[in-house]
Amino acid sequence: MTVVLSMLRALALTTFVEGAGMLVYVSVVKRVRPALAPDSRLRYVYYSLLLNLLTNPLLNLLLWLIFLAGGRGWYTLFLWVLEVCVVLGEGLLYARLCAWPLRRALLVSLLLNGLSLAVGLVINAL
Amino acid sequence: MNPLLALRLFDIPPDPDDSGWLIVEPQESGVPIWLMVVIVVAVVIIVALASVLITLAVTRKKRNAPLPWPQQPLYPQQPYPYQPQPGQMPPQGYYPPQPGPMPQPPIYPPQPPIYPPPATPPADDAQGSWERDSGDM
Repeated sequence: MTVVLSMLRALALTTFVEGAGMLVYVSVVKRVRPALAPDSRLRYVYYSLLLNLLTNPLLNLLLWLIFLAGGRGWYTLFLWVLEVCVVLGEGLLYARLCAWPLRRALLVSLLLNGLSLAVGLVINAL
Repeated sequence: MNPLLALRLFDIPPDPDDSGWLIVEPQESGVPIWLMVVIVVAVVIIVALASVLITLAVTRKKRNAPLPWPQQPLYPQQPYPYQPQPGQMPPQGYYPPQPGPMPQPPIYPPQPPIYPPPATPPADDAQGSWERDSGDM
């Protein structure tokens, strides 16, 4: 049960961090170039939630299975490989959902995942 | 998800000099099979739900998006007014506009009111009475 709770906690934390990041980003874009963010702010946060709902449990499940099967070595390798896949996948889906150019969508995806990493660093330091 | 959160997720202490990425260390896990199955099924359900919601969102986005090409009428538009060419029959049910001013409805002079005919006695009766009257005189 610890694994389940940990997965849920990681999902909630990641969703919150990336949703907040998306909210800030869209607010800035709406102020600078409103044509790039025609939908409401909550709509973009909803998109972020959907994408995290898609990628986060899948990533955690794969990492867990890899960890059970192979231990630390495989785990660390696949962790970075899957992270890159998540950034690329979320970028592609952001481009479809938000009607952004692919380059911008990939940048936003990298930004949000980087923000999540930064929050993780802070939490880890506490 | 970020790497450090993932490391914390499974209680893996971060390794400062992690140089053995490709070293395989099979581990004995105390996780029962049924729990693994439950977790896998739950994750599959969550991912499927997210996929459906994302598909719906993309579909909605496409439906609301303006068309990338200018809208054309379904059928070629008929030029108006129709100009019949020599030797060409106009389409059925088409009456070309007549040149000149629009025809006005005819103006009729005011008609006298129609009264009922005056009540006249029958001709034979009148004649007879006249004769009778004159005879009596």
